[in-house]
Amino acid sequence: MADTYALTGADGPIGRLIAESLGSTLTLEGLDDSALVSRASVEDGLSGLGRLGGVIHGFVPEAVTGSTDIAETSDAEWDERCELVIRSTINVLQGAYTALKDTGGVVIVTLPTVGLSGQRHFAAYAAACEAQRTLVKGAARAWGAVGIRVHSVVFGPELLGGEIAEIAPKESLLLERALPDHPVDSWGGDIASAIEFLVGPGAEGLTGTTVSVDSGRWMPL
Amino acid sequence: MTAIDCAGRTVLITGAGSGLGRSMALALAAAGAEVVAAVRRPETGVSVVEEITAAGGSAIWLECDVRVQEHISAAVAATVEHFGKLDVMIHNATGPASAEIATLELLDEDFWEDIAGHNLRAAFRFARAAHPHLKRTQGTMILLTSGIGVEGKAIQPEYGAAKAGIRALTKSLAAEWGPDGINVNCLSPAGMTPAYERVFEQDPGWAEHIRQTVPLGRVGDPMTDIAPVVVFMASSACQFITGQTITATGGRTMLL
Repeated sequence: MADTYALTGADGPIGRLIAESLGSTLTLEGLDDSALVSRASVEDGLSGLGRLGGVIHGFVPEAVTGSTDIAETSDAEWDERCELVIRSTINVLQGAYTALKDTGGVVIVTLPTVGLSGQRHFAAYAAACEAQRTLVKGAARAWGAVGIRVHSVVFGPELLGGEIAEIAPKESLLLERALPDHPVDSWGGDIASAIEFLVGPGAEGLTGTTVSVDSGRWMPL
Repeated sequence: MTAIDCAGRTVLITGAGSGLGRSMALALAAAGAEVVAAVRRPETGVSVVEEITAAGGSAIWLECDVRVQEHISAAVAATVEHFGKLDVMIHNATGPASAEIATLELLDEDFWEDIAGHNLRAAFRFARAAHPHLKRTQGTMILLTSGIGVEGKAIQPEYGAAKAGIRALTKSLAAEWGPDGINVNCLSPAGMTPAYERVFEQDPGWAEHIRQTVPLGRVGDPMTDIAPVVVFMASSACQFITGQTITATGGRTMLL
């Protein structure tokens, strides 16, 4: 029987794209987003999914798609656009560790490029994204010894809908797309292909990486 | 050529009572800045202000728990009330959890609350409170990050996450506030602090580890290696630099 991969945010913009593109390749099971509020509820959700190959964190709260300047950001907005995102990711990573520590597996966190570059009007979410990516690196360094590999897959903010899809690409500090003719409609498939590679045998020597699926805008090295 | 000094600049710095923050406060004052030392423990505030004024500088101290919004608002307001303006906001303070080591699966929610409250959330709140005053002076915001916030670390994962968040916040603020004439940068220091000294005492192999992994072979001296970098970042000589992480780590972290 094939391993099952748990998917968070399956009803959201990124999770839905992943499910549509990977559903016929991997055995995917959606993890109820309400489970993300605590580590225990993530662990409960994962324990019911049978033999787990890994966890794909596609959850993106809808609030992050709205713009706000830091000078005008309330504590509540900061929490829902930044710290909720980070805490959910911590819970998912911790829950995945519990589920995978004896068997090994792969954890993938998906996030937009806004944290890599910084993003005016979306600073709270940008901070969360870079925090997510560094949590991934810390977990990768810690858990490689028990066979858990952890990666980030980043995508263009166009995929999130709302104001962030409209404003962030125009006001990004990143350069123009190196592949301008590569259609945005295909980016979901591109993300899925990257995930398929990272969970497959060809990536057994990789952990802690960031794979950028953004038509060649972010080139940090 | 623009001189690297801070003459006439009013600087509010958190965590100024001890460690790197104290060295920064002393150096900024020596460079001509009017310093507001925001400290957790009053006795450290008294001490740093005495040292600054004894050397002919200008400084006040105030008590500030950076996890408390009211303290943040009061610190910014007191700075403007006393010196009439705010030119440079430096959030340097951190908390006890920052130095604790444990892999991610061992951490609970209280731990994140401590890490976020001292670091990332406080950076946001100080930015929000300082913005109108920095806009008025076309000033500077400086946040503190860490090499751990770039590379990730197995035994300090949440500290790394918070410091990474601060890097992205810095870039975003630099973009958002550039039109207001405000520059925003991060400092990533590796300086000898009391906590770091304890590591050397407890682990005899650490000195050799530093020699092997740091190109310059040592941890930075707070006064001679770290503080001058902050003086530069707070000076008008740095005003065209924004959104950057300046590393003062003896070459331990090479970002590009």
